[in-house]
Amino acid sequence: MQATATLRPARPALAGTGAPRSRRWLLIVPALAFLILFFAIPLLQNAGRSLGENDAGVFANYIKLLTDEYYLKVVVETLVVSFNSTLLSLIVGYPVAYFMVRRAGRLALPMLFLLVTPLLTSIIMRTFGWRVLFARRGIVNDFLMWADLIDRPLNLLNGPMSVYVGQVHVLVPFMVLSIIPVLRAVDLRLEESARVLGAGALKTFFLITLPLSKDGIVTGVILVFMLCAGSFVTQLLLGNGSIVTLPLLIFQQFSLTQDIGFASAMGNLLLLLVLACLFIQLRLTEGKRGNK
Amino acid sequence: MSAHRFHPARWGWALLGLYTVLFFIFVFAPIAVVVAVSFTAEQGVQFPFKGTSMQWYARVWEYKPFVDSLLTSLYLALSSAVAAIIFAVPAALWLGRSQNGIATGVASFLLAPIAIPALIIGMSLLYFLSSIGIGVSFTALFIAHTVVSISYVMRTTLSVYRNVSPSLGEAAAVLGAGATRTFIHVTLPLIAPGIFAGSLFAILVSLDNLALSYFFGTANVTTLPVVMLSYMQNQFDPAIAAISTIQMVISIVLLLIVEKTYGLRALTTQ
Amino acid sequence: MQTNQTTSVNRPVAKQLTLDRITKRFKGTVALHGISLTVQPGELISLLGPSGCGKTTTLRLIAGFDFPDEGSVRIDGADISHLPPNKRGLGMVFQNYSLFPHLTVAENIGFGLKMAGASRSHIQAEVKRMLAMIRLESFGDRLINQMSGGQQQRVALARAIVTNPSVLLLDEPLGALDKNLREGMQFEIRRLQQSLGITSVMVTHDQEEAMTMSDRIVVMNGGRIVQIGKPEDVYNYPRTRFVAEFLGTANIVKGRLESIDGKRLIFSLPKQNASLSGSACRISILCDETPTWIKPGNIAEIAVRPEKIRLGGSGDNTLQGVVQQHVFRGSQHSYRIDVPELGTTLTVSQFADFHHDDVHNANETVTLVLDEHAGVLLEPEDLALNEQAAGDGAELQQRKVA
Repeated sequence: MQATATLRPARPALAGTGAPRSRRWLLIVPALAFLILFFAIPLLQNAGRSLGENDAGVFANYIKLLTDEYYLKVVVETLVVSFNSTLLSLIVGYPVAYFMVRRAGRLALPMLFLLVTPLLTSIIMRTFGWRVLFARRGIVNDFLMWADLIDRPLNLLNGPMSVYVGQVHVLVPFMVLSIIPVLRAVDLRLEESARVLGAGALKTFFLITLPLSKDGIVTGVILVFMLCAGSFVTQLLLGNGSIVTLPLLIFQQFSLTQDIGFASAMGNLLLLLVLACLFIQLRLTEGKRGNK
Repeated sequence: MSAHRFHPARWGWALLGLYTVLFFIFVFAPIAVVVAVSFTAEQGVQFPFKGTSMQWYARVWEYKPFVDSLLTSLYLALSSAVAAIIFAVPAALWLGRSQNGIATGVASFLLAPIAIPALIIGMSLLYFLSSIGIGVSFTALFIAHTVVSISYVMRTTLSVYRNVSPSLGEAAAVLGAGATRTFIHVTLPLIAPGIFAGSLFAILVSLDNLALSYFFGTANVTTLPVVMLSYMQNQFDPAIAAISTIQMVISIVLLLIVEKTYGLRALTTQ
Repeated sequence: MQTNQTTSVNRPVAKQLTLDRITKRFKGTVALHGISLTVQPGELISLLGPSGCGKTTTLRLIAGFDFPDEGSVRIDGADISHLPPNKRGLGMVFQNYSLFPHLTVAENIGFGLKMAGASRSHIQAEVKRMLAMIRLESFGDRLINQMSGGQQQRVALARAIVTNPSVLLLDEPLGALDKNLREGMQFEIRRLQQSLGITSVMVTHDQEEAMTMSDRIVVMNGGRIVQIGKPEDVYNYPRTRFVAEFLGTANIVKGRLESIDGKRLIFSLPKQNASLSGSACRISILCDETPTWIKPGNIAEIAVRPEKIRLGGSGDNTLQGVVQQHVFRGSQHSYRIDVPELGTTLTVSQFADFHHDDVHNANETVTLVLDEHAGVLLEPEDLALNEQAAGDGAELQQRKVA
């Protein structure tokens, strides 16, 4: 069996077979073909569809999306809700991650299991649960009345608060899971050195731990932002229309709209938003890790 | 040793611990409430409630759309996971030993479906499939779910495979194993945990994937999340709680099966 | 072609391995420049050299993980240069053992036989025999991660030789072990290799290991073979400065050739310090053959091993020095001695003989004597390479003192 005398790095890609390299690429073809056909092409087709052909011009749909008062509000709302939810998830989740890495010891694994379990439940289930908790005669209202903080039950389900609670509830596990590995990598001895040099606990945290876990925070933030930007079930079931984001609009309009092009534009805009996030993440991680 | 009773550091940790406990209460509260409500004897959704009964589970059993869609969802999840394995494992094998820019680009592309909102994937796929003659049907659902599942399976399989030292393959070769036999006897046993973990992810995501399945539902073929959603918007009674609990139990059982066979370490290395 | 044997023969016929003018390029750089080498049946040779010298590349070419651009690899004359590794019938011990973590010790050892299609009973018998040979009889059902480093080492070795390979390859097999374990394993591997008579090629960067275990050492540098020979020969008669400094310690002094008397060359060591009086110290060197590349009046480099310099005594050819540092190493005393006449510091070592109380302390003035056997004439680097290239695979002759 002759092999061609090609230039090869020290470790051939499929070591130990002597098979001509030209056949190994067959391994990737099925997956690549399938995803190009059923993932890339539909998305491209969608983008194409969003560019209008009528007299109004190629970008008519997008202009409408970004200038019409109602639609612009929806787009901005998407960004605002995602940003707020991400920030809240970070604030809520970081201390948990910190506790799990630094203090939990043997409890860390069960805690991890507990953290992951909610992800096994349907989002409808979780949203339903919040509906029950926030109901007019639900536990939250009962508690607030009992504590004499309010006179009459609040209509919690009509406002953004329940949406945020629901969103954060779904997103925090992802944030925590992103931060944990990076925090784990921050050597405890660095914190100890800071303490020896005179830094108090809070100073150590803000000057040493937080900056060193930056990577995990960035990963978590981008991940959570993307997830939030693309979600709509929480807004649908908890907000009672008080919060309308782009995905929700697409969902609601889909069966109603005649204007397929416009629907596609909405979808495409959302896609571009998510791709922007991915791009940012790629840039940031590439810079950090060289070329892994 | 310091004689201080109120050592600040220890109080700090205690506070943090308390916060963490509250956090987990927050995390489990809605879930616990739903499980509880599924056993209510009352007619409406109310928490707290008086009296327990299995009536809502009976209702679920009687409500044909629930049962049908649950079976459809399970079948869909499992079949798309199998298809995903067939596509993703060879892809992971190729990517795991390729070190160039093209490979990185291909890897990013194959992992993209996880990041793109399912709503968009579903919507565009619907239009595309109907334009090539595949209408709303199980086939369309299957294709959609397989697209997403391929990413999940590939992600974990690739990660595990990258940790398998190339010299193991070389050792097998020197001992007489060609490419196929090296794969069967050495590579496959070692990447199996990654394949299983990824498949589990894919199945769980598929079972819950409302946004993806929404576009492909018909009267006959639809998935559980879609049915649950419309039920919740139209009827809103504790039957939702019952079917949700059933779905959760199924997911936990699947998780335990994988955990017992291969351990969950593969999941936490993400 | 070559395949692993399924039957066991207690002492199979040993094979000869030949590398014939192997050249290998990676992305434009030349990793191996037409190297040639013959390993005699039953011999263990070491490829020794610094990182990047090409020793690992050579081993991988023999194994079949890569293929030569020019030249051939032959076993008993049969060309295996372009066979895939699973068809070469070789055995290999990897640097980190590469034992299969999901298989037991017994399954690891039996893997090669299984691939060759041996019957289960045969595999069982052979594995049992191997386990006895490496003294791990009761460990057959253990998993690899339950074994210590030294035990894994032995399993890796057993796995490689159970198939009766024509050639055994060893890629820095002892690198992962700690010092004490390493020395024991060096003897163990060597003993096993000799009793089975398997032709073996070992890659190492540890020169002590190479000297301990090898029948011959192949010193490589920059993709070329610089010197081949028995350990004593390469150590006592290094061809070039690189070899002299890579194997053990060497003092390098510059000498001017004064006269040639048959095979004896007289060098003078020119005084570096003009203010010092007296004539220059002389050293005479015996050569195997009269070198043609040097004429009286030329300056050449001479290597002098630390243990070959005598301290004390008197004579014409002596040097004066002042002790800078004395280190006691258990079995020997090591001195750094400043020799103003040469303008350099020499390293001298002496066996610590407890009858002898002649320890020299810092700042002591001592006399150094260089006998006829003390120095070795070093060839210039490019000369050695040209000779090797022209040698056409023939053995490089070593100079021996008559």
